[in-house]
Amino acid sequence: MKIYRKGSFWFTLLVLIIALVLVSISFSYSERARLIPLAVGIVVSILAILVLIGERYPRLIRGFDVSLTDFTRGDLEVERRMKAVSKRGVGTSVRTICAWIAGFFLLIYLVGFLIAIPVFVLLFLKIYGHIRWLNTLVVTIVTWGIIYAMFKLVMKVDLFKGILFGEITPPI
Amino acid sequence: MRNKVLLLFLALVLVLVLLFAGCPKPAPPAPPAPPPPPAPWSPTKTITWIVHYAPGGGFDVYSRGIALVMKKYVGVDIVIKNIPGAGGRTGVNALYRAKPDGHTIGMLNVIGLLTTQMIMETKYDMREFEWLGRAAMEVYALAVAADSPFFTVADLQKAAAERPLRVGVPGVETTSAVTSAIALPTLNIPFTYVSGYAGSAEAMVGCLRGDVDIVAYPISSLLPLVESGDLRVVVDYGLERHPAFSPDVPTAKELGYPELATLGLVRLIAAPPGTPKDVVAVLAEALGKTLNDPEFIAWSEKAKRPMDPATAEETEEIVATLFTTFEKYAEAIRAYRE
Amino acid sequence: MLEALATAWGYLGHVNVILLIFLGCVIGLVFGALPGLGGVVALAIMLPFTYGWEPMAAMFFFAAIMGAVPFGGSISAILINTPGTAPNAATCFDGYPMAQRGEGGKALGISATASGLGAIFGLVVLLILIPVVRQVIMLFGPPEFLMLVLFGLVTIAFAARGNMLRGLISGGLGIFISLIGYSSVFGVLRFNFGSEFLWDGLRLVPFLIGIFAISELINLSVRGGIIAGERMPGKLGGVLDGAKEVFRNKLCFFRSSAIGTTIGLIPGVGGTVANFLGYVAAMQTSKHRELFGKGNPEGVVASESSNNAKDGGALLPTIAFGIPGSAEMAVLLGAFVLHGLVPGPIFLRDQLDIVFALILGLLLSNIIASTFGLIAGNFLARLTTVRVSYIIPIVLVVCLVGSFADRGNLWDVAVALVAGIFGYALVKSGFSTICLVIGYILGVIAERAFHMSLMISYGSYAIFFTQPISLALFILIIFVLLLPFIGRARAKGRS
Repeated sequence: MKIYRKGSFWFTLLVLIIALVLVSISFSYSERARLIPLAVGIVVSILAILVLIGERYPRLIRGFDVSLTDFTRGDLEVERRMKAVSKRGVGTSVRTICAWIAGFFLLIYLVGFLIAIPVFVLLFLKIYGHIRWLNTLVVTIVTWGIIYAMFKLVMKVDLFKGILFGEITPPI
Repeated sequence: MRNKVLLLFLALVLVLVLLFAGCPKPAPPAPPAPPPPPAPWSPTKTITWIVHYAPGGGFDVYSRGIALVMKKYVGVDIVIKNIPGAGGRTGVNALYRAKPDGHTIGMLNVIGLLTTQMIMETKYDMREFEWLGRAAMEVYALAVAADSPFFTVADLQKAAAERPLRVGVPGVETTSAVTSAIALPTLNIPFTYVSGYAGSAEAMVGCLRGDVDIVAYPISSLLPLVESGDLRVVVDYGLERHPAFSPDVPTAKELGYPELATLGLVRLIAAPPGTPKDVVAVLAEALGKTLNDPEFIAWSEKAKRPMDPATAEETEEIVATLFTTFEKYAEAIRAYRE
Repeated sequence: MLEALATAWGYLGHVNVILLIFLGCVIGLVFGALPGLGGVVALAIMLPFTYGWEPMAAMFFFAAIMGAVPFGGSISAILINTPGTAPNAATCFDGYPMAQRGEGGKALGISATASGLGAIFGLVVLLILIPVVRQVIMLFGPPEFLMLVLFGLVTIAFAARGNMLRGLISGGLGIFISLIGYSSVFGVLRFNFGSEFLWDGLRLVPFLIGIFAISELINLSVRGGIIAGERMPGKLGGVLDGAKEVFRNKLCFFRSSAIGTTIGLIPGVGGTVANFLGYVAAMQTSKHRELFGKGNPEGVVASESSNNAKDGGALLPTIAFGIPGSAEMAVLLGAFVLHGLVPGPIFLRDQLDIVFALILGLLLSNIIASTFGLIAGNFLARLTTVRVSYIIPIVLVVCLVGSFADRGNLWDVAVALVAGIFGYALVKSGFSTICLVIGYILGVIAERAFHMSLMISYGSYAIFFTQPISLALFILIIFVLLLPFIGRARAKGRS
């Protein structure tokens, strides 16, 4: 597979960029404060470069990428188990679930926890999970009830009310 | 079938939680009829008391002790809210920005926050708070391990001339560190920090181990280890001698440095800026009554948490004085931070 | 000493004390299991209610809460890969894979047994050490502590499966993340990009919730089905089986409990470190190292026994010096003062009955919680057979609320989400969450110990080698690093 299609290549590249940025920031700190960050950052950057090279030319880094522990027995064991029964259902794509999660967060931001929670649970169970109405409603109410009881009644914690209800965005 | 397992489980949890929430808990002592408020204002809902440190520490304990008794005088519940973080700044910012309607107050570590304000940009200004009173003020003292060779300030000066003495502090921004940055040069004792301890108690253990030479803390913090014979106080920064210390311990005033007495841990209580004067008056009076309440005094003695109540007006003055004092030392403090 | 014990024991005759212990146990279990809450929050909330109670009764109550929290937290760690409290994080590494295999009940059985027995171990050690408490606590200073933590960090080199380079990178990233924020050692704010929110760094609880739970939720969604997806037909592991596992791994149990108690002893270090070092030590010395992270019962034994043993250890500096051995102990100290008790060296002399109340409370609460675990374990494990469509929204709600409850800041929730996505991408790209988390937990602590040691020694590196314990630990680290090479050389020699 072309490496530019592999997700792991891009992720490793991201890691390298992060490490280099952090190293350059470290120079602005005092001598003691930058000691460990520099040491770790430089090592991580070098290793990341090696891994990136390995993505394209695996054989070059084979000598480095060993394991201090012999994992083969463990891996065989896992394979054996996987070959047995694997109860897999029909899954969804990563994008879908991330969209749901991000949407939930946005909802919390806008209307606060106590409204976002039942709305999200209901929508998720119905649209994503295709659950029957009865089960959906029961789970939604019970979940909301538990959160409400625990946090409002017992702990008297103010859950975020949402900016539409006047709550200020906390400073970043 | 399996989904019923989930439903059953959830239902059980819900029942449990509701039972728990509805479970009768020991009722707080019924407030006696409050005295007719001198001003038309009185709180209409629970008052939140912000503590800008984590639960369990000195400020937290003092706050809880006061809040429990103050309920009587304000007529409503007072709930402690811990907002730790950023060395106390998160909590202070929260109090600074809170609605000034008398339903939020807090106890502040003025010295630490004040010096921070002088050295860097902060989102709060200590001068703008509405002060309700002072709960306690404790002077610092300098202590060494009981088995160390230092008995007097002169001993310390001599040893420090050879190489700087190590002062154990939780962090270079803490009140203890700031106090040392001012006091030790005044006393002619070259020093260097050993910073990073988790708290004052850990720094004191470090002193016992011999990792650091000196610690400087409020007297009530040092007392348990002094009484057990582990720590020895070398000099008391206060103006008067402390009864619990041995007669060999001089005060800084006696040695010729009376200005060190301003270096104390002050526990002041404040309301957010902009709180109306009549609201402040009501709260300040309630606080004053609390601090002089016999039940409260009994607790403070039993818990060995000494009180030095001051009124709201006195507190305003105290803050102003602190500002002028510390402005003088701002440069020195800045130098020692790195 | 025996009088004090008798006094404390006498209280157990009162029904309301027993009820308080039960109530405390339940509170501990619930707060432990709900991620983001935990012992500190439970204690802080219950504090004001106890004003006016008899101090002894209050102490039984608090101890009961503290005792049940670790096991409560392990329930969520095992069943939904969500550490109920930070000290349960290492339990996720092997507990959750066991649940995935349909052995959730067994894992809960291990946890219940190891938790209970670990707590007993810690308390026994506490009792033995009370006469020498001061000397013991003074044994550990920054150099010794650095060596302990280094021991844990070194595992990063081992823990990555066949991908040492990526494992090391993960560990390095974890260390970096831990360095974000203000350091009171230097008085410097690092890597916060001008943000006030990052002043204290990435908060532990939201980050762990994200890395463990939310990334797994994404994974579950992509995979579909049920949590116990790799279940072998006909085998739904039982709790009693799990209980037996603890006895089968006696050495592992004792070693982890010892480590947990020791770390608990060291003031100012949290239970999370105890948990990790116990787990890591088990990984390094196990005969089946390669199975760690894949559902090795030893891993659960190690992490659950160490995080319960730490409570016994943490009591020691708390009552001896008034120095909290853990965050819960800090709140407990506040409770002492509230009830007019002054912790400190005098405390041990004059208030030994309070100490025994705490010990008995911890002991009974652990026994109750463990029994509950053994009884309810199989039922709880059935949760892993519920459809993912139900699990995802419920767990997500609980996780996000828990992340928020940590300190009431909405952006902590965002941190959890980003950590979740990052964690998922990390694993999919062949990196290692274990290494990342080890680096994150131990990184900044190691740095602090390192620099403090140098400040103490006026800059001389010799301090690490002149203190006996520090030197001994350093040699141990070298030995462990060389172990695999020695093993291979021997194997070659034989063939």
